[in-house]
Amino acid sequence: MALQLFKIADVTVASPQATVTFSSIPQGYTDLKLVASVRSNRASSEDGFGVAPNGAGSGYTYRVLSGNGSSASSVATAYEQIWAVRVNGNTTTANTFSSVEVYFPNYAGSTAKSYSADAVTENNATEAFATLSAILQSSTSAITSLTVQTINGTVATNSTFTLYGVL
Amino acid sequence: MAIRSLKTGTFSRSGLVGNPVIMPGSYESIATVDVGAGGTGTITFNSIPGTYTHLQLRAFGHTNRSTGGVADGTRFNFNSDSGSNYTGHSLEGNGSAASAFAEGTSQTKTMAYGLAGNNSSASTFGTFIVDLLDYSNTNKYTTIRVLAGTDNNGSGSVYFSSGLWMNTAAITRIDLTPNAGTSFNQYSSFALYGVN
Repeated sequence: MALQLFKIADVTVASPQATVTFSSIPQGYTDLKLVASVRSNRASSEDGFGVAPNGAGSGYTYRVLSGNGSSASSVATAYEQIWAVRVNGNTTTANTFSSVEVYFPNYAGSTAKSYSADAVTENNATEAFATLSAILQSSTSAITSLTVQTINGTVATNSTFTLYGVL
Repeated sequence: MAIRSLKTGTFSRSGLVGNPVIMPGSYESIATVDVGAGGTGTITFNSIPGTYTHLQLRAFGHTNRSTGGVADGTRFNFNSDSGSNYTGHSLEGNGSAASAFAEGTSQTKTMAYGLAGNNSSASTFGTFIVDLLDYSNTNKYTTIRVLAGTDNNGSGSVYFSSGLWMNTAAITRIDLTPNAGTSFNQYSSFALYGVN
């Protein structure tokens, strides 16, 4: 059967908030895919954006490839906290939101959760960020909820999040 | 035929009331353009419905660019806007180094890279996938996210790019043109999908 995508839920942020949570995620899909059009209220050109399987607050390690409009870099780190990619902060061009995709293969399995995230910010300036991340979260529990957040600022109004199940 | 519940993962034999419901998928084809003999200078998707949540555009292409590198970019214009309302940025890997660059502020188009040009072999095609989230949301500008690349058996690049159209209008039209070449070659293909 061809790859199929099914919308599980979507959220539109009507006023600034700290987190967005998708709970009671059905267990019958193969993978999960989260897409987000998101902006942070942090007074900066960017903010961190993270996705926590089952709300896990630690146990993360990352490999990141990124560009800032001028140069490229790569890091490996064990932040031990939520962080996946960079998104637009509040000093970037008005009305401009980042485009983010996070993909969780085998989310209902009983192994540590290995997933990918890619995101772009935009800005009518030289600086804007492209981030590709490979993330490992040490919990072996099936994912039944996802909590997303911007790290330093709140999630801005009109940010949207769509969660899909993939067969 | 066994039917699998998307909620519980269990199988049942019936779609009758009381049994798990199978929903249609979220991807729908809007239009596909296959380039014929002689090539074409512009690919246009027009009268795009505003009823989806997101759009995705996939391309498999080769242009007639004959000078410079093996790849060519594709210019994007939305809703026939050719004003200075665009910008873009890219992260590139060429097989030996990674780099990043910006298109410059207030440009007249935004870009996706990664299609092959005529300095590649004739049977080498590049590809890109463009996601346009919230394309009909009038509370925001349109940001595109692009994954692209071409490989010519010894040269080529992979790109992860972004583009910005500084207009809050819903997207109803997309025009694509080669950046360095003048036409997309025969057998190039462009497909637009609506995502619910």
